[in-house]
Amino acid sequence: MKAIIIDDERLARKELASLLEKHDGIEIVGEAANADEAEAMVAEKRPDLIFLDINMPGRDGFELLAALDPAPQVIFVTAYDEHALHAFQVNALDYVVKPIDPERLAAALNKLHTKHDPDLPQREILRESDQIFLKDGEKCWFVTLKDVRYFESEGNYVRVRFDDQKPLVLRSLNKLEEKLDPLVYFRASRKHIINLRWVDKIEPWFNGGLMVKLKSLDKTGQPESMEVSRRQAARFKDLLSL
Amino acid sequence: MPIAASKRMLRSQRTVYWATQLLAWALLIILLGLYLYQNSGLSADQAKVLVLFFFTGIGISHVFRWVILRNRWLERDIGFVLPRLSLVAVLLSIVAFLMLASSHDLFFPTYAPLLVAEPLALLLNTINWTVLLFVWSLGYFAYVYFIRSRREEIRNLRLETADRENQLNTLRAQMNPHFMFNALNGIRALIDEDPDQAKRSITQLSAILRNAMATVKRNLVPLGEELDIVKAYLELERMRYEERLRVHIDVAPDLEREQVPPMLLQTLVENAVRHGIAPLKEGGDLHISAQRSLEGIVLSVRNTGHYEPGRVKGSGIGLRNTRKRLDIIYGNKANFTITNRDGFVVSELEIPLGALTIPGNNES
Repeated sequence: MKAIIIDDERLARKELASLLEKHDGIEIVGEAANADEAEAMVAEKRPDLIFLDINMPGRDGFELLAALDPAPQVIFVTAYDEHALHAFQVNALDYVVKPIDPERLAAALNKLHTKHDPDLPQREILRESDQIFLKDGEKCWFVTLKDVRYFESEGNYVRVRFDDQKPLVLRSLNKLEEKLDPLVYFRASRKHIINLRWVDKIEPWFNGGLMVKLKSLDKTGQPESMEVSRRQAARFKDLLSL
Repeated sequence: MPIAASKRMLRSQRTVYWATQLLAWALLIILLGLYLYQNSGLSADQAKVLVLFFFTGIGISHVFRWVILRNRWLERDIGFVLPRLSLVAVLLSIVAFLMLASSHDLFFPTYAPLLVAEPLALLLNTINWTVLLFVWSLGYFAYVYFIRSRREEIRNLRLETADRENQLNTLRAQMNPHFMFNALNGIRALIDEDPDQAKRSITQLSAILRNAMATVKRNLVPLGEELDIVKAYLELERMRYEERLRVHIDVAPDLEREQVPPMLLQTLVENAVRHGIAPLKEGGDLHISAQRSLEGIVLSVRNTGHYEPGRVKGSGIGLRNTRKRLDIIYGNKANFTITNRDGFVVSELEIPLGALTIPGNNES
């Protein structure tokens, strides 16, 4: 597994690297001292795993992670940031505290998905099984894409709907559309990208458009529903008839 | 919430008072009844008189309580209260006797009237009531004191806990866990890379720990001692930040003996590193200096960066504490400013030497 260590302290990187020497499965392909360096390095080396310090000059660890699509597997390495880690709504991540306990590190490594996606490093497209990292204010989420029912555009932001959560993140719906797997995620209108796996019913709507009803219910107990614009309706039918 | 709670407490106290009151008087009546029954057999009329007695007792003692509360005798000392209690007991006993006797004479006209008995009987009756009421008042005082001492105990325990928590928080803030654990992590790496440096770092860390434990108790320390801690701290931070942290210290040796509050300079330096230098990718410079002024001594900490109050969450606590401490120790004689100057943040602290106004001075 290719890994990158991201920490602003040289000694901390060195310490972690020396602890990782014992783990044959982990190959350290780079070290970065801040988020900018790290982002470039992740784009270039496509690691399967990153070790990420939260407190760094410039962008912190969370902000870096929110900029990475898909998010690689992450083990947070932090000195004392209980509250930062408690900000997580979905506890789909692991962390170790400094000074690092070798056994604790081994346990964290064991928990990683052992059968990682071999072509992850090459591809640009986000699949259903990929994770994305979302940050809305103080709260953070690690979400597997297949749990996301739809994305909704709100100005310069996108609201992401999964479970009973709906964080608002700074992304553009157009950029997102380019990255998402077109067989699963459909741009229904200017406002929405729908996860087709969640579609329950489709009904004809005004002006040659369609109304899509999802398997999920909204607050009033009705199925969540959204409009497919006339322009997209034909494509939508094509896609489903496949 | 506190109002509701105290209301609830008041209500429950009142319930307890009435329950005790009823029970005590009922018990007395029953004992009296048994006594009469043993001696001469208890007639129905005697029983009725006992019931009259019961209500008179409750009524009069309740008036007694009102007098006690009204005059706030519960807050006075015993020498003040005892004679007054006796006097009221005497007065109320006359009232009680008159009430009981008149109702007796009214309800039972066939018996010998109590109101116009011979003087000795009148006196004995009144004395009986006096003793009874006096004992009652003592019981009432005992009861209130008991409740109060228990409440006091709880309050003391609570205060103690709060105090301890406070100390713990101070200690924790001084230890700065983020710094401690990072330092330990760095030392762990140094053990392989540079064992001598690792040893030095452990000594420095110990000095900081020891100092954090000690300063909880001290009001003033020599500036030299404070500087030693600052230097140890900065050495450890240098281990983390390496060339990103550039330290310059300029303090005249003759100033090192002057007394300053502990952890004050240290707080400023820590702030400068944590909020000034740490966020800079390229790092920055940190200057520490001390100079004599007309009034006393000026400590100044200068770091690369720009200060915007409230920009970083969690900052400002150290500064607020610093201001509070200065206020407590020096009144308004100390001066503390933070300004931006030519790409640097300058924290300046002017404290008077000599004239201190330390309240509750526990300095040895």
